Amino acid sequence: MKSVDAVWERKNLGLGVLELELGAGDADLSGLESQLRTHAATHDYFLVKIPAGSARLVQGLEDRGFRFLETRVGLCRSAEGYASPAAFAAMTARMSCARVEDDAGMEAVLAAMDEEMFVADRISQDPALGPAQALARYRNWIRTDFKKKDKHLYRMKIGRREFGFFTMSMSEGTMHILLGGTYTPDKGKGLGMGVIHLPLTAATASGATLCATAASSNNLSVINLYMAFGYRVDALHYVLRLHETARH
Amino acid sequence: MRPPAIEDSQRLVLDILAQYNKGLLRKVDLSQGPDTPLSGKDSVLDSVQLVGLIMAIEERLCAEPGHNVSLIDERAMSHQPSPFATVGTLARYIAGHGGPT
Repeated sequence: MKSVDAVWERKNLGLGVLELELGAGDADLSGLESQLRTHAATHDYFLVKIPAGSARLVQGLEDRGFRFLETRVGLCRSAEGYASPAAFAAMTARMSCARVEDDAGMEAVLAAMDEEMFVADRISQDPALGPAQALARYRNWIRTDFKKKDKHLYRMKIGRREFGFFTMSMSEGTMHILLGGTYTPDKGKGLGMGVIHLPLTAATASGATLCATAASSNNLSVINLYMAFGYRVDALHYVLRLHETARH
Repeated sequence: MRPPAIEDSQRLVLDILAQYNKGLLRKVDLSQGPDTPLSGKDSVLDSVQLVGLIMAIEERLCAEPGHNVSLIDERAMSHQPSPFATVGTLARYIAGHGGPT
C-alpha cells in the first residue's frame, strides 16, 4: 500500500488528507485499518485508490464507511508526429496556445476560472465538499505549480479570445497533462477539444514522445474527446473516500 | 453570395442532424424543431459530435460557390445567445453569417 500525507490539501481544503493506494496485497484491509487508526487524530479525510475490478475491496471499504466518488481513467498516446485528426483539422487549426510567463498572466487565468468549470471533479462532486472548494483547490494548485520550473501553464485562444487553460509537466520524454478546462462562458461551443489538441501540439513542439493524463468517469464528454484524438485507456482506478463525518 | 434564409438554414441543420441520428444510440429528438438543444445538459450531443455537426454544416455551405464559411470563430464565441444552443439559434447565426469571409 502506498500512503501519502497530502499536506497541500490543508491549504486547499482545510482538511488533513491521507491518500492511500491499495493493491492486490491489501485484500484483507488490515493495512488500511492500521493507517486509519494511526492518523485518526490528525486527519479528517481518507482518499483510497484501488485498481478497477476489485469488487471485494470496494465492498470492504463500503463496510468501513467509505463512499465511492469516481473511476479515474488513465490515458496516454504517442506525441511523435502528432497531427490533428482529419475530421477536426478545420476546427483545431483555428486554435492556438501560449505559455503564461508572468504572475499577471497567471492571475488572469485564475480570475477567469469559476466553480462551474469543475463540476465533474471529485471534490466538486463530493457532498462533504463542493464546487467552491474544488475551485479554490485548483487555484491554489496552479499558483503553487507556477513557481516550479518543471510545471508550465498555457492559455488557449481562438483568434484573440482566450477560452481556457491547461497545465503540464515534462519528465523523461513524457508530457503529463495535469489540469485543463474551458472557461464557463465558452462552454457548449465545441472548444473542449482545445484541451486535448493544444497540449499535444505543445508536447510535439517540446520534443515529448508521449502524452499522459487522467480523466474522471464523471466526465464522459472529455473521455470521448480523448478517444477521438487517439488516446487509449492505460489504467482504471476506483476512488473512494472516508470523511470524518462518517466516522463519528 | 447571399447567406441562406433562416428557414433554409434550419432545414440544413435538421437534415444533417437526421444523418447524425443514424449513428447515435441516444437519438436527437428532432420533433422539437428549432428548439432542439445542441449543447448544454439537455443535449444528447457531446463536444465531439457538436463539432462534427458544425464542420458538416460548414462543408455543406462552402460547397456553394462564393461561400467560405467559418462558424466557430472569435465572433461566434462572443455572440449572444450562443449560436450553438439550439437548432434555431444556429440557423439564425448561419443566416446572418453566410457571406464570404
